[in-house]
Amino acid sequence: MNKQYNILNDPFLYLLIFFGVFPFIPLLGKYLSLGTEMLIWILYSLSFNLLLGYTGLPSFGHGAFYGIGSYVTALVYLQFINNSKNIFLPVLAASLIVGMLAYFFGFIIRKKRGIYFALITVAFSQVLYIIAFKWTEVTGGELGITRLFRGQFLGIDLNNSTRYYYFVLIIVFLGSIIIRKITLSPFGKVLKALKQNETRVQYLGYNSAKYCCYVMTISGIFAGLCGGLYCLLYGAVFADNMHWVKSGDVVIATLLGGGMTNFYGPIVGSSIFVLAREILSSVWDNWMLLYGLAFVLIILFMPTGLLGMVERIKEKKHTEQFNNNNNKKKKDLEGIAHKEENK
Amino acid sequence: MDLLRTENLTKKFGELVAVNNVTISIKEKGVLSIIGPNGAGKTTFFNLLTGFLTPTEGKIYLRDEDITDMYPYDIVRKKLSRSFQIASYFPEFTIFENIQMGVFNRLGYSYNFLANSKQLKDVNEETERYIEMLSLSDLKDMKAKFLSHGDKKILDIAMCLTIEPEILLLDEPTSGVSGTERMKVIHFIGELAKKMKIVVVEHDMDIVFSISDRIVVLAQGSILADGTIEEVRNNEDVQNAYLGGNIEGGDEDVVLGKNK
Repeated sequence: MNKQYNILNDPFLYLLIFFGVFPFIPLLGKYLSLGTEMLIWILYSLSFNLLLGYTGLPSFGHGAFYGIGSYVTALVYLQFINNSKNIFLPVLAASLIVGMLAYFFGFIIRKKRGIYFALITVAFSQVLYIIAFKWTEVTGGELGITRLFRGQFLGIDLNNSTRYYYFVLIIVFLGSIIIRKITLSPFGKVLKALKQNETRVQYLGYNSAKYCCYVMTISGIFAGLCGGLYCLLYGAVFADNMHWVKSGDVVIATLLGGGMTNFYGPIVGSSIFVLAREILSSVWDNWMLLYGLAFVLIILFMPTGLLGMVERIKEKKHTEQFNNNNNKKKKDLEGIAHKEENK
Repeated sequence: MDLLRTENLTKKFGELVAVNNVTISIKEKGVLSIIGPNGAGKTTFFNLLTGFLTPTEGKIYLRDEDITDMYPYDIVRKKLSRSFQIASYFPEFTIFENIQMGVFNRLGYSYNFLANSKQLKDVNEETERYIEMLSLSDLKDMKAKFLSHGDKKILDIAMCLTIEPEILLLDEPTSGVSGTERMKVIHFIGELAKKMKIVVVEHDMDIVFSISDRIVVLAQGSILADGTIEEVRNNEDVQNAYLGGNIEGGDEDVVLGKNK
């Protein structure tokens, strides 16, 4: 049970190494914005997986949190600290404001489950999308808000893409560690239990609605942060990011990797997803067709995702081992009984 | 002071009266069995007591405190726990983790975001204590979904115990459990009755007569009889309605309300 923590066994170490040397990988390394987007998506899908994979809440409106994070970053940036030396404040503001919004929204739907939860989240994200699309004075409407410059962080100019890449890497890495810590805590255990049997959770004395509200908040905080980082990556924000189809993207990325059964699933899934999207769209204009087909195939043949298959093999081994042990014990007992009979 | 008391408890589902005007008081310690034919309102009665359903009329008091409109989690914190007719547990968790879930709450870790749940020493010790008590040590790293039916039932009851209840409601603890495992469950209930009040819903009369101190018979939502084993056994109404007395037609299952 209490295995000693060994940093060499920690997948995060290898992730850090991979993304640390990413800018130096031949061919891939040239596309730094792609690498940055992959990193942002890792944190984004991990935050989403707290809802879907851990608590079993099928949210289809996560794109709204991401989009609002982008808008808040852009607006705070333009209103208060244009050309300022600090870009961390707008991102922090995005994180906190989206967190508050998520708490409020989570409070409203804290008792809804399953299909009702899914539908309400879709409606919620669509309402916000329309607001962003129509409210031209504030959000720029169809044209969005563009021409944002990254500015500085602690005196380091982040307009350089390599520097911004590493800035994002550090934030994403810290964010992922916090999310993992939460999933391993008693709070995280309650979330996992909620997914399996909510009635039992209540009859152990936990207020399940409160947990749903809190997990929405935590998830929103990180989604807002990712939205902010994304906005600064391209220096622009558009309402498109809030469309419910975009919310579907994170669901697919999470499912593809196996977020339902494994913490690292979303990391694998979103990396593949961003990479494949980029490659396919440059090869073929109608790549959405393949994308749709892939989605159907995943749901049909691989509902637990890539890492879900690994998990299944592990489970099989576990039961085999257990059965072997049991059989051995039985044989031992029979042996003893036999000996006593002979005496 | 009564441990648990209901006053004119009534629950209606549309036209159907599932629990009808039940007034009952439950004293500390011992085993109280609630029996009655299918559809007599036993499980509904449990659901009302534990806050799963809100009564149409009437009041419930736990140690003289009104708990009628409380949520299940608040009632559980007041040391009233229940098991389910179909064993209720966390299938993807190991037995250890299942038991741990109850211990977290009692030791005040419910909203702890940052501690590693595997390294909480007090929780682990407490969980081990329960596992030893239930003699499940061999199975503790096994996922609950692979357990036998009887062990699942025991796990369900074990999870109720982790909140250290003073009153425990067991809904058909031996339903669907095979012979030898059944003895295990009965023995276990007997042990528990020394420490806390147990209210049990059970169909098997042999079991009811062997473990109960007091029996309440429900029929169509109302109390038909209430008393010691002897009193209930000699009660004419009960004999007619439930224990297979001579009734015109004589088809027991019709009387029991079972649909064939």
